Amino acid sequence: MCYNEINYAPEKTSGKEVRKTETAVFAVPGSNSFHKLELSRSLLRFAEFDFTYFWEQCIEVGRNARKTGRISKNMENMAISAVVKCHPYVEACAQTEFASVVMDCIIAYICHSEGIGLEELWARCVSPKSLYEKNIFYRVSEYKTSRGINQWINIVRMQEYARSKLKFIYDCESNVMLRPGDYRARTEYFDLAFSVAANETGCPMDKLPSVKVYSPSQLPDSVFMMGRTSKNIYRRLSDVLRDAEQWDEKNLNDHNRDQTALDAFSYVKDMPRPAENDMRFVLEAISELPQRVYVPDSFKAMIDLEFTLMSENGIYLSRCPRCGKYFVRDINEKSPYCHRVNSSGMTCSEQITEELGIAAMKRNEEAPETAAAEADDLVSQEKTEIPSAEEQVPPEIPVPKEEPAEKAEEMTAPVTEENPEPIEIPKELEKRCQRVYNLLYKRIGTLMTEKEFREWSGYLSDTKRDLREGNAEISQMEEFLDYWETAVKKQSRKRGKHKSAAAESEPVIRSEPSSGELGSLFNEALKAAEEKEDSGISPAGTEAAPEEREFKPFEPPKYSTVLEAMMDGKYKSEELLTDSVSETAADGDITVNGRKITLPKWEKIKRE
Amino acid sequence: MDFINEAAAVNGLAEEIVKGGVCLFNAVKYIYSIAEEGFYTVSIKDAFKIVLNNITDTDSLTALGLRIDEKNCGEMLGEEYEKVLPLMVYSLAVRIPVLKNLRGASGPMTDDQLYKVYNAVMARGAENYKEAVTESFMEIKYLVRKAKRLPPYNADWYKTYIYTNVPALAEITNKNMFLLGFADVLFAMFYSCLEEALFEKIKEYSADDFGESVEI
Repeated sequence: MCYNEINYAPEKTSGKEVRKTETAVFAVPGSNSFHKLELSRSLLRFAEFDFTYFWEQCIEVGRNARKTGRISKNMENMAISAVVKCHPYVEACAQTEFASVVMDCIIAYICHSEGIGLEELWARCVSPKSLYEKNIFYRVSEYKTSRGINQWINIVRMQEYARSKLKFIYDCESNVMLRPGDYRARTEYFDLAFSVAANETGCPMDKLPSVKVYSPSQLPDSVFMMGRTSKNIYRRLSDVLRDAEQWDEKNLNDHNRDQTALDAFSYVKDMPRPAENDMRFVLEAISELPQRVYVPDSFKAMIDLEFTLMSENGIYLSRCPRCGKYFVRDINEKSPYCHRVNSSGMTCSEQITEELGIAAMKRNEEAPETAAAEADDLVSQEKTEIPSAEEQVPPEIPVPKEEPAEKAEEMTAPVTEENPEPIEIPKELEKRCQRVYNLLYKRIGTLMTEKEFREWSGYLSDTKRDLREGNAEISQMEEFLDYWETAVKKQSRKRGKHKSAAAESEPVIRSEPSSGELGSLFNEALKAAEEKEDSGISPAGTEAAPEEREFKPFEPPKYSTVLEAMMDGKYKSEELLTDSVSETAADGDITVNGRKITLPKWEKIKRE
Repeated sequence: MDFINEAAAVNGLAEEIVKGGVCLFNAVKYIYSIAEEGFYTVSIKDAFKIVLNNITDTDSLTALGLRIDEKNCGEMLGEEYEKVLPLMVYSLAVRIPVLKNLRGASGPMTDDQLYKVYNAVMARGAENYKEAVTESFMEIKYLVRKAKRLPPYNADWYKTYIYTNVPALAEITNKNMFLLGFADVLFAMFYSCLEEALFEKIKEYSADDFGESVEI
């Protein structure tokens, strides 16, 4: 695969538009691989990443280590694999910078939950009684001697930084798109504010995070990254280099860079260009490499780089007023609603179009002459930039509920390298999904609970997505719908026995909706809209607006409140570092797999 | 003093003293290496805490990023400096009579028992190389018996030895001055902790019940 400075990969396809994912290539010290950074995607994923699972895994690792006296490598690897997904940089540095992130999380948890400082924890473990304590002691020693930082806290703080920067640059009260220059000005202002703060607090600017840009052959580890070509070159120069004088590292400094570089050059200055065949081989090797490689020296540098590259490539974000999440918004796009597929299988943009369409039609039935005006009002309330309701939802649309579903199919079916054979969902199947959805929605409280319905809806969306990505078959979806249709019918029959009148009004699954059914569907949707406040689910089955959501996404705690977040947990830190384990015997020993382990007897050291 | 197993007690105490000597020897090297790279990042106080809490094991000092290698303490890797190890063990061995200060129900350790421990330590390689250590077993024994105040354990013999026998460490350099400075403090504190540890060892081996009637 050929890497360029910025590569374009198709992200979504629809009939009219093709969205692209821009990627950059980066490398990290200690790794001989190139890593891909998907602009905007990586940033948004990181900003929204839920660390709860990782944190719980770490607590489990700590609890287990407390019992066995050592950290289980398997459990630690599992926890690390949960956190590396948050950002490509973390994944790239999983074996280096972030190798101890699990231990860091445990240490932070112990310190914060017990209200002790690192110094006290270090003093407790200065005579380690187990490998677990030794690991803690070694890690805290690294903090003390500035050879490491708590990477867990670093990740949490970095997430806060990314969110703050996103908010500062891309939040707009009126949800309008600014000019590119305005975004750039905001970015520069934010970075400059950081520089001012760093400068005023005496932080040397050359010690702050930075990114270096190299061509592959100029990378610090290029000799190893381009091993085959380097070996060939070495073979040609071996006679000259064999007797070359070795540099003393102590003598190398900032002042003699040119001198040392030209000394190295003196060994190759007479080197002739290789033969054509050799050059072809080199060309072949080079063509697989990116033209430009970024080498960030820290996580913050990586985050800043992504902001910069996004700006350079005209990628701008906007916050969706419906779901509250950021999304990539075209500079000319008027709709402020996102194109991110949510749990309903639709995007907010499609949902809002659908809702507005339903509202307009309802009013059209009640008072046709005022419908258009009311629709206009609705539009102006919801968004300032989107076109009028007539433009969004033409009155002649016969089945307003089905149109967005088709649209969703067009706009959301992702065509990525991983999904080479996407399946297009037949329109009939889409309609059927919508009908079953409506039927079940109406039966919340009778056939299933609200929570069950939400899970069901999520499953439906997942199956749709799998279908589009080619990971599921249509027959699976049909079986799923068959099952629920049958369930609805059964329930209808039962109710019919008790209430024959109600049975007549019960909607039955039909292949094509008649005009009479249209009104029924319309009423269902309208009723659903009225129930939205109570249920926390929007009529179209999506997540409710942020303020209405019952389950809010995990908000990684701010640095100052990590303690509270940890204190909040159901686990007690004593389980990690003190003798309060249920298996603990009266003498303070525990038995694990028939092996008796003597637990350390902690004494609290009071500060002097 | 009655021991459950006297031979085991003698060997155990001798082993502890030798380990203590080795630990002190390594601790000096590790702390000396702070002056090479970690002068502003490693706190010598932390290093002392680690050494004094692990008087028979200095491995934990590596947690501070300290390394004993040619680069960090090449001056201490010469043959002449290696003789410091038997000297250190010897300097601790001559103070064995101090153990008499611990009295159990069956009394303190006898002169014979103390002498056995001393011989066991000497048999493990302790040596007064070039008569660098001025104190002797008999001298300390006399002072203990007369209940006279013992001179504090210090690094005078060590400094004298390196001045005269290890030129690389006798030079006036930043690192060497650092060494002379911390050695005085470390030797005194280390011996104090080792003495405590030896008393605990004796209690382990002793047939007497030390409950709360320990007299030191």
